Amino acid sequence: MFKKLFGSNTGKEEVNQNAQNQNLNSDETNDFDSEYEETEYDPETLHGTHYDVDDFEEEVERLAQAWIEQEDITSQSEINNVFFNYRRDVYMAWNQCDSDQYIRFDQRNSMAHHGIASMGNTVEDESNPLLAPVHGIALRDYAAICAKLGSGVAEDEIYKAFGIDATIWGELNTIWPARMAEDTTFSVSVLFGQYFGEADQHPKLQGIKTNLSEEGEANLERLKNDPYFYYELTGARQAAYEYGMDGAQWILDNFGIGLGDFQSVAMKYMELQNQNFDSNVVLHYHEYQDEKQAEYAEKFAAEQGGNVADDVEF
Amino acid sequence: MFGLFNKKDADNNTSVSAEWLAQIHENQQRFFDFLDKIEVRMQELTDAAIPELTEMRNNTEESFKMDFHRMKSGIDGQMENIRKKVYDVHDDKILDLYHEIKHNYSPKDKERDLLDTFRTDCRNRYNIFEEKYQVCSNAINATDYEDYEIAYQKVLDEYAAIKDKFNCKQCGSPISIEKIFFINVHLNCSACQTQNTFEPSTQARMVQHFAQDLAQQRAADLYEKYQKEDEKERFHYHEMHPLKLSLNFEKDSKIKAEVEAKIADLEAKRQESIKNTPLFRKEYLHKKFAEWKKIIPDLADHLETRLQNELANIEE
Repeated sequence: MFKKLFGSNTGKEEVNQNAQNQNLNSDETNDFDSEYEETEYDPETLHGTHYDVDDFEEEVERLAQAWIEQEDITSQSEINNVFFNYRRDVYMAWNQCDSDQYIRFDQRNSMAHHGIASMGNTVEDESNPLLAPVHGIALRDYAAICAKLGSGVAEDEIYKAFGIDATIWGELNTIWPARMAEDTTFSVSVLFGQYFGEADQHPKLQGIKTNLSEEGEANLERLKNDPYFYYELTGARQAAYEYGMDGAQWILDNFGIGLGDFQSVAMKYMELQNQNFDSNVVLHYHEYQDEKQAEYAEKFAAEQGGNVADDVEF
Repeated sequence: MFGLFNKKDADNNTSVSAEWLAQIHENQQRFFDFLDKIEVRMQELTDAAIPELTEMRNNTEESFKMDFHRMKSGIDGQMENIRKKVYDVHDDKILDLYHEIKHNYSPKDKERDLLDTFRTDCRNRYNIFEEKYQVCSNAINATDYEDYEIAYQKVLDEYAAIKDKFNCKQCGSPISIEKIFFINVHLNCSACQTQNTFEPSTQARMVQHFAQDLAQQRAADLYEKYQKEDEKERFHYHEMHPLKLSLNFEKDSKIKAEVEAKIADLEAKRQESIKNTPLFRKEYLHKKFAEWKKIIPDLADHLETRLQNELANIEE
């Protein structure tokens, strides 16, 4: 359902091939993209298929080490930066690609390149002790429980579905966040976010419905399918906070969507944005959100009798 | 007030008759007046908000102080609104005018100086506004403060009062609460082996949420020491910069030697700061985590891992 927004990354260069993206790009950009359309990428690593990955790594290593030696660089953070810069340069040169394709590649290989997990590009490593289930509750379960509790589902109903009680929940709600805080790769947090966005698909929650009104159901469905609606409400929520209101409550009151459901959709948008990174699309929706935020800010200001400095003019 | 016309009067050989002079004069005057007025309003907002926010922060019974945060968010929004208004006016009435004149008239020499002075004077006045904004903003942010020792003492007092007053739901035998729990816990009755659930109070549950803040407050002295040391590096660097520039045109070898000695002294202080900063940061982290472990000993292993992670990120 979200693919309409960001397209899907199938391994072949598909920048601007989906309808939304084409609408957002100028002819000039499309001409520019056509230069790259011959390049094919490995769907898993996003390396070009016309070279060997080992050769790529060797070239980056060779250039980076030469520079490190020449400049006598000893700081680890600076060494990392040197590798980052040469990896980008070599990738863009060897694939003749634009920076968006490089960003997609970098996000996909974030763990290997930076030791940090990237939203939408992380898979669960079963050997990671920080991901071992707690009292039989895996991270996917914990994330789904959090999403549903955040949407107002009764605690007892959730506990029953997972065979736990309030005491076990207290431990889960201490241990999982503690693991997230310990994890320097952010894998646990990122996977939590990914699973939070998939809470609706959790098999143990199929019989459990968020107590949504008919209007809320319709709006939630629209939120999942209409990116403009999602960015409008994100802007509205921010504006509400800036006018001293509880933005999450404002969305629940006016659109019938709870915070857990809203954030679940937000995770999905974030994930797809990372997987199919396109700076034009990102900029377009960012501007749209700002525009909507300004509109709602004006509305909230009017309801509250204006801003404190409205009458001070140049 | 404005350097603009003073300069013209002071230089009899310069004849400035540019038609845009009146416009920049007017915009500068209006910009300064606008800032005077908006600063008064900003101060009024700050003065009114601080006691109300403080009252709200201190007197709410609600654990997460949501009402306070909502109100503060609203005040922050109004402050941001003021800041954006000033930014927009500066952009529109000063910078745009500057670029328009530059583009349409291509002023040179004295006229160019006057135009640049207009931009610089307005920018300087804008910077003064930004400094005042920061002062107000910091004062508003300071209302979000709680002495967590008080909250923690209440938990300690509560624990002392209840630790020997929990009884088995089945046989009524006393069950000792051996430590402060901040989540539900199952406790077995030693007399009849029945499993009982002890449910901590709301304030005891809050311990894990404020433990880090309390530990931070207890380590505040070392944090300040670390921060001050960290700032010295940039401070000495900026002190050295004009001295280094002055050497470019200095011919007097005695003065040159004096300046070089000053630079060497500042560089030594700068290097001292670079050396000390990571050590001071480690010292602060050790104290903070030691305090944190004391507050929630059940998470000592977890906190030790976090401490080691943080220490590993510090480059010496």
